[in-house]
Amino acid sequence: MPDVATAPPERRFTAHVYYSMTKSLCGTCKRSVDAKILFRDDRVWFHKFCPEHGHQECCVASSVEWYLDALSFVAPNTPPRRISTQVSEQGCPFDCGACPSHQQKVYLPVVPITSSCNLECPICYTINKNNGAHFTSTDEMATILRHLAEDHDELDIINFTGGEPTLHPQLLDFLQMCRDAGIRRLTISTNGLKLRDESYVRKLAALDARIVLSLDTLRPEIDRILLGANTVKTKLEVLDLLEKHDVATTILPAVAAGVNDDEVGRLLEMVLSKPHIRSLELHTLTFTGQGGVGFQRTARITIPDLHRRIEAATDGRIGWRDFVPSPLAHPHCYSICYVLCLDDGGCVPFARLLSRAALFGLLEDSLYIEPREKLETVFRDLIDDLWSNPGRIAESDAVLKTLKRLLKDMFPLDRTLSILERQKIAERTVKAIYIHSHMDEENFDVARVMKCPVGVPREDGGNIPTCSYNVLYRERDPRFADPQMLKQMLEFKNLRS
Amino acid sequence: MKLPLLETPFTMTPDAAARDVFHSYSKGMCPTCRALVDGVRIIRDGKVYLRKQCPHHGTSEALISGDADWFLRSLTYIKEGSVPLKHSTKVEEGCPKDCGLCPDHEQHSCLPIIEITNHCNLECPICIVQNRNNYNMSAAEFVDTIDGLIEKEGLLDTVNLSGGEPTLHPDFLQFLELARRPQISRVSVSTNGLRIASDFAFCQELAKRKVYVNLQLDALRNPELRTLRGAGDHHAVKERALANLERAGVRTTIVATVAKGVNDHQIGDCVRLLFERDFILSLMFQPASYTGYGGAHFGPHNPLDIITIPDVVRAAEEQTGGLLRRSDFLPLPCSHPGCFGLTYLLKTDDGFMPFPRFIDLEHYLEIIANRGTIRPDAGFENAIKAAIDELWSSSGQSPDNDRVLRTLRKAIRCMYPEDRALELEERLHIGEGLVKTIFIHAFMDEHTFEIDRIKKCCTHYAMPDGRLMPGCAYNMFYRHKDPRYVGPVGQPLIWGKPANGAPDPKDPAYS
Repeated sequence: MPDVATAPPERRFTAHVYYSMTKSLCGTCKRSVDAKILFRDDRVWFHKFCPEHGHQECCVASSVEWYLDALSFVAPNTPPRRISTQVSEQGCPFDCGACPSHQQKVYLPVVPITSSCNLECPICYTINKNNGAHFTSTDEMATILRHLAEDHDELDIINFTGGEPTLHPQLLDFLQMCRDAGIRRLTISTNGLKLRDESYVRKLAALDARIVLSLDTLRPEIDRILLGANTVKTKLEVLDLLEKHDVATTILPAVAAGVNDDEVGRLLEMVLSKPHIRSLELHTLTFTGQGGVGFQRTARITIPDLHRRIEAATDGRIGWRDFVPSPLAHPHCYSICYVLCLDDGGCVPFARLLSRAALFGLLEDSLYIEPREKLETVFRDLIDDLWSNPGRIAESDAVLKTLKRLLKDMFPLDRTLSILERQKIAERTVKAIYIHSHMDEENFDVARVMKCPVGVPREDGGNIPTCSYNVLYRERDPRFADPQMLKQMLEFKNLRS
Repeated sequence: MKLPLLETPFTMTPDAAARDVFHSYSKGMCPTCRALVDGVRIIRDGKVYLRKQCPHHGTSEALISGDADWFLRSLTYIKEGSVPLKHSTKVEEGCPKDCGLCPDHEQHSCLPIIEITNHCNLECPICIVQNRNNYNMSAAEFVDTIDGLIEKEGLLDTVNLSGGEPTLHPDFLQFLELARRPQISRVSVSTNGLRIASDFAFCQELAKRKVYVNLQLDALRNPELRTLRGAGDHHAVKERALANLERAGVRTTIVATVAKGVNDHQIGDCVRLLFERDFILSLMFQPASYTGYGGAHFGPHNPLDIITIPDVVRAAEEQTGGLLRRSDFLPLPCSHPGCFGLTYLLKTDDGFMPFPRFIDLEHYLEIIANRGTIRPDAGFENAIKAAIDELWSSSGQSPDNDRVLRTLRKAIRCMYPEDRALELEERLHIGEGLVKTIFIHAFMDEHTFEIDRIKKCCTHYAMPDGRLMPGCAYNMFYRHKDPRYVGPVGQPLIWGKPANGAPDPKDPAYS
């Protein structure tokens, strides 16, 4: 029997904890690869291996606690009515869509109506085509709307995007077509440059269109880094015009770590102080598309980073636990906070007034809370609760006063308001912060795509989840992708790998 | 790294219970063509299903957890893995084509199995391997395998000899000698008990060498045993085997394969057997997995209605009149939480007390972390001492407390005496007299297979060439092309007789 002469070597522990796995994409060639989901240094990492391009790692969340907390919110899914494609050897996400693996119907159709754009942003995650640009025709739009009507009993919302959708000469007609089709929220994602034209804004206001204004920064030097232009002054003027014509506005900053993440607080303050600005929609920067592939990776930011920014900017009045996922999407895609702006100033997050569970429940029918009877019931219950238990929150009196006034305005005794009218009233007092994390090839997670409720509708009735579209399908769509740009993107990739 | 345990309730929308809930992605296997395909975990009616899409064979679905709450909570019962000292393969093609272990694997070989023969004297309808009856490992191969294990692991808690039926190996006792290495704490043998039942001298050899026996014993009655193990008076064999093991003083684990609708009503009986017999140290339930020989021969099998880890836990509660409760069981954090469930039981003056009832969760997880078997090291001592402090401060509040407190104090006095330090092995044996264990270990089949679970597998088949193959990956992807097993299939000697011969009660292997 040989003796162990020296102490035997000891195995060491891994620096990470293995949580689970999902399927992602190779950051270079975009083939599908397994991704191990690892917890390390209180962050969540995807650890991938591509037989051609080797091991790769990407941080997908800067807090394990948030990552798991989001997963503890459980909601049913409603598979799409229309299955347009079959499952192939490669499987998800190469069979969009929808294929039999897709788990969720579309709640938010996003329609790119033109490939043309009047900016060329270093952070752009689309691929635009200005030479021989595509403009969706009225017939094509009608076909898309017909399919949407077939696939949905009702549709709350539609979004127009591009390129820059305001460059499309028929945008106003399209809005009218949607209105005629009974869609209530007509949103336009825009850089706002066209909205300097007050007559155009007036027309948008007349159609009750909602503007999602891309506004990443209030500093011209930062604007130059993100958009390659100085648009700040113009956008602030546009915001004034939108206020003047009471156009429901969402401010949408794409947030890049170390570039404009320190401005989240200022932008939030702006949203809370202007009645016509209804919500703040923060996007974590994605590194895909014509600009994104080449943008510095140090700018990668995740949802918990934005929670921390908001918490710091509001001195804890809004904390990460005031956010819940959307029951309609994968829990890691949206982080949502609603706040009640008090008539006498200040604001209180819904999650503290109600509970996180109640807020989650309010969001189960549509991506944005609708001012329906459910909300009325919740508010009335809240009033009762605060009456009987006023010590539960510090701002009890102010909340009660605001809620009573709000209910009286929304549900007057002498007549019934339309849901659109109610919405207008509610949104002046109830504001939303949506953190929406899109994906790129590096942090791609098929689980998130499978439950994606945001889709790009095709004329044939098919539908492609937005992140699949942005990462894989747009570049194969000759109407939208400029071949010169595709070549340039490939060079970026090759340089990186 | 400290993880937030999901002890808070899950937040469900009001209609979540009644509908399909998409939970997560999981790569699975098409049960028809065995291709790896996209799958999703779906929660429905409080259970979890794996729904897969094969490009050629469409949708298939399998139950993967009979209790969604257990499943959801288990996801955070995880901790870091341990890195082997050396890897035998490189990451080249991606999981599961690079076994094993490749550097991307997440856990070392906590439970290595050496299959020393593929001969068997039973042809069990529920068998998860396809025995070809044409291979006995050579002594040189065995030494290479052991060397390989020591090279990768350094120190090993346990090495398991299996097969086939390992006791059929002509050099079995010589192998036990070869396995006596200072780096290996214990050797266990997985057996159907036929030789044990008929050969008391053999049992004495096992006892002399301090070998642990894992005795396959799925039920205490013939009808169930025949369904699972084929024709024959299995019950008589098991009784004789138990008697011999007890008489020889062999430390024994009962291994019960549990098949839905066959013997799942005998789970309580197995627990009572564990409680009643001192020489039985632990009980391992293995929910039936329908692959290998059994996958082709065992029926009926409905992949949507199988028994899973939390179902065994539920049955244990129902069939022991509350001696065991659901809350006594936890997933094993060092393996994949979908693979193991377990509880430790403290033997007190009047019965067994599950650890989670007197040790707080954090200390308990510390004890069970990174090992399937109890190891009375410093961590164990700390946890027991913490429990004593805790119980002492609440002394008198319940008669249970005082009884447990007495036992724990005795345990600490015996295992960690103040006047001298005991060798780990001595402490281990004292501990074994005080603590019994119930494990539930779920192997996967083509229906339940998930790559996710393979990645953190800790149950590895050790190969003579130095590779360590995660158990279910080997069974699904490698066993059929293992070069050791090629060549014509041998003639199995069922109950010692050529196949299809009726079992002879006078057979020496039998009587």
